[in-house]
Amino acid sequence: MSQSILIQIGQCGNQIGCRFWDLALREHAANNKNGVFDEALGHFFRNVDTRNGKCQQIPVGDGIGMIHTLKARAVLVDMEEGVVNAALKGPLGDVFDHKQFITDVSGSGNNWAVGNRFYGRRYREAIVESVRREAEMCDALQCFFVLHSMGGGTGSGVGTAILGMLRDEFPDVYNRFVTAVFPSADDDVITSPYNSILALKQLTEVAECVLPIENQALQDICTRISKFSSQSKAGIHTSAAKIKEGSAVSDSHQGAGKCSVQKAFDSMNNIVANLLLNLTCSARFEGSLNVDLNEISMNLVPFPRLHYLVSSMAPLYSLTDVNIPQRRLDSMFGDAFSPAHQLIRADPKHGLYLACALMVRGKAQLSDVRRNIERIKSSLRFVHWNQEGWKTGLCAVPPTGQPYSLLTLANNTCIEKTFTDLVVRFNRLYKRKAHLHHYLTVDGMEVAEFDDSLQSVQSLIAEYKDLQTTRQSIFIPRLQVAASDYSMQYT
Amino acid sequence: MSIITVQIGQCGNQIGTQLFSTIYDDIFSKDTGIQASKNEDYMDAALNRFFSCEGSVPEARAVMVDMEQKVISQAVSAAKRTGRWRFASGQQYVRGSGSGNNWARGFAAHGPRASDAVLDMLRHESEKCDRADGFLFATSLAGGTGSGVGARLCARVREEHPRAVVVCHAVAPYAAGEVAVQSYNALLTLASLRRGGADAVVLSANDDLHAVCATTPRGGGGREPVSFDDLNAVACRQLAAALLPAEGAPPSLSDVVDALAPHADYRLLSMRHAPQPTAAALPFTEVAWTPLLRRLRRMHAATSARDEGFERESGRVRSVADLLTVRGDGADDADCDAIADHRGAVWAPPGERVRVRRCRRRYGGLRRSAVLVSNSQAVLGTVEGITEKAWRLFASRAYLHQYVACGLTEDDFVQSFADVEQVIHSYRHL
Repeated sequence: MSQSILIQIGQCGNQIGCRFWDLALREHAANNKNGVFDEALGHFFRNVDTRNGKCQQIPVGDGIGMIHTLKARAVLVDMEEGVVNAALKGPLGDVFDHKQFITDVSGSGNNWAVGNRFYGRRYREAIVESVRREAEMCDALQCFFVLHSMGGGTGSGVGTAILGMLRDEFPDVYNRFVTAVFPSADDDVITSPYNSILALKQLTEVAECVLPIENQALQDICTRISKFSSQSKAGIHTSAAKIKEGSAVSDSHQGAGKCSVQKAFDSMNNIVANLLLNLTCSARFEGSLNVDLNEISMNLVPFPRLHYLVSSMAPLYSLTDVNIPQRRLDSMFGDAFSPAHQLIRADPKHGLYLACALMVRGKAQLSDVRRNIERIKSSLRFVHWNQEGWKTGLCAVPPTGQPYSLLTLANNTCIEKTFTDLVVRFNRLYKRKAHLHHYLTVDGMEVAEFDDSLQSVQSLIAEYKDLQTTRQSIFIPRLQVAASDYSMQYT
Repeated sequence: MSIITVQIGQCGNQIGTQLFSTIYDDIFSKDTGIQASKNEDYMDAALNRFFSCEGSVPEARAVMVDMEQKVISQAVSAAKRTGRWRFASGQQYVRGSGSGNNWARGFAAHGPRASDAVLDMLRHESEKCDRADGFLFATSLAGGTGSGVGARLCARVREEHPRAVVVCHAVAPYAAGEVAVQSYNALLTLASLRRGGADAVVLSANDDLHAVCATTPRGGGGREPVSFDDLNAVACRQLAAALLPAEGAPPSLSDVVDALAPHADYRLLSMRHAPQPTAAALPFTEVAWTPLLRRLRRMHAATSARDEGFERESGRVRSVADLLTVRGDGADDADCDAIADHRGAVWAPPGERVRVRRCRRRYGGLRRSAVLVSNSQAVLGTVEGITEKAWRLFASRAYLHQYVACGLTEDDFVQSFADVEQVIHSYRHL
């Protein structure tokens, strides 16, 4: 019934986006054997009748109409043409049409100011138009997903400009989920700390919910998966322990996968794509405890600025051999809280939880979730005013290739480390005013912007640190009923 | 006398659907233990109470409300699949997007928008009844749609039908956390229902229902996973036993309210049932009335949901009023004094405190069973817990911005705290 629109910006955003559409189609294909256009499919796709040269929208209706041509509810933005054109020419080309593209030729040159101030203004109308066109084809638009990187110029610059635009132009759609990929320390973009800090300020102020992803964490996960699969090929684990094809979160299957050079990035992008699929599964499929997308920010964001959610997924793959005792459901819960499964490099067990969501898919029951919450909660530290800050969801449909899966989203103070690292790298450049002139020549960009952004991020870090250190300091007693109250007359 | 059910939100719709199927199964149960002619009278009365039988297939007297399509379509098709009863078409109100666990959004945004349409459906539904007895709301306490929209609809129904009886069945979330903002939502719901709306609120806590499920393995042996369906089945089993026809005191929903909720400050009811046999032990379960009722009394005194393995009572639970329903062989002669044994409120006239309803027809495959609906201090634990947690959040001002964005003010929160503290105070000083 409800719909979401995905806005993918920049090279990183578009690559992840394309993996997402690929996997989303596969997931629906696996669960929709009859090829009908149902409400689950209608969340991210439109059904279009392209016969007779017209583009006739077909509504979901009673959910038994056949699929004609599926079109993604997406807007693709890039200031270069390469990636977007590749998407259009590739096997996924059919799910987009030209009106969904906004491109330029010259790129943002890894410069946030160019992306945000120059292209952001220049293409504002075009982007608004394109998003509005998509929005008008939804009957209950619930959520915008914005996908971009923090390090590059287009992703971080145009991406954050679009966020502000969405807030102003679509005030009714209060769900703006940003999936932001943070650069790794050995990033090849020298200005990435500038871009990230400048973008971070915008995210703090404008986004509803941010899912930070670290490149390095994705790489680590991929390395672990490939190490395990190569070990099993070499016979160390014996032939029994082999990763089931298509079950790893980084798997792209064959088919629409790109050439092998791209493989490394593809599997990293697949992880993020799977994150989005698991996040939205409950909005698309049935379950005994649905989680509406609105509920995520409602439950996980106690204070408006602290809306960065650390995510983790388990299992990362499943094994082919049925003879091996299936990894118990409980270990999946344990895994999801270990540092190795986090999509940022941090250990949430050392941080303080403000709230935590468990979104379970597949053959898991309510009692499994309750049991594991009881089991895990002693090893986690929750803030004193929200000791029971759990949000649980149960979706009946498992991800393709796996019997069940768990996505955790945590509002945890450990995210502060990611920001602190960025600030250190930012200061290294900013102390010497290195590369600053590239930014300042852009119209509408001033040095003050740098100072403001730095300050905003620093105060964000301070807020997280405060929470981490404060104990229950002030105790405010509950309201007391006055003794002279009328009800006392009866006792 | 017919009861119209209003099921709101995912939880409410699951409970409502389960309630109708529990009732239907009981009505057509073969194991009655009474004469065929008597049974037919009972079946007529029970069917007419919950179903409208004008068409070929009985239609549940229900109006379904949710802000998402999925749950309602699931419920409607599940009922249709049974082929024995169904939900009336056109009695479903659905909106495009959910309330997102935000009570304020449900109460202030979705609720008012839904009111007129839902009231129309209720009017339509009541026109199908020879005589409508009242409205039974099925909601959750913690969700946004069930609690927020539910509270708003309760208040509107009250305005439109000032003489109708409104009873609300609300499911309290797991105390260990199910929704992070559950305590806010529950607090606001309780306060709003107290201020005007429901004549009585029947509370079922998920923890209690889970405890019953976890100790009664279904299908024999071993620890089996517990699902929401299992929890709902327990809640509906209790609710149906209390609402199905029986002789003796309260024959109708309004009389139930008269008997159980005589005072505006005391409107929270809790339910307990015994025995709770395993499915495997069902044919062998054979308890005489006196031990059964004595056990039920001890459960009540210890505020235990389970019928065994609980601690002996520490202090006694004081009641405002109790309603005991005994069903099964020899119900007419069951000695119910054991139940009347515990202490009541000082002001409650002793003779009026416990009402007994008897029905010789067996219920749920049991030769003898009893359900106690009680307006007592037993609810204190749940309500206390909710208020305590909500206050902790409120003192840190956590999540407030989400409610303020939907039009609730901090004063509204303070007022709600004051209301619920008043309820707690009243119960504590019974």
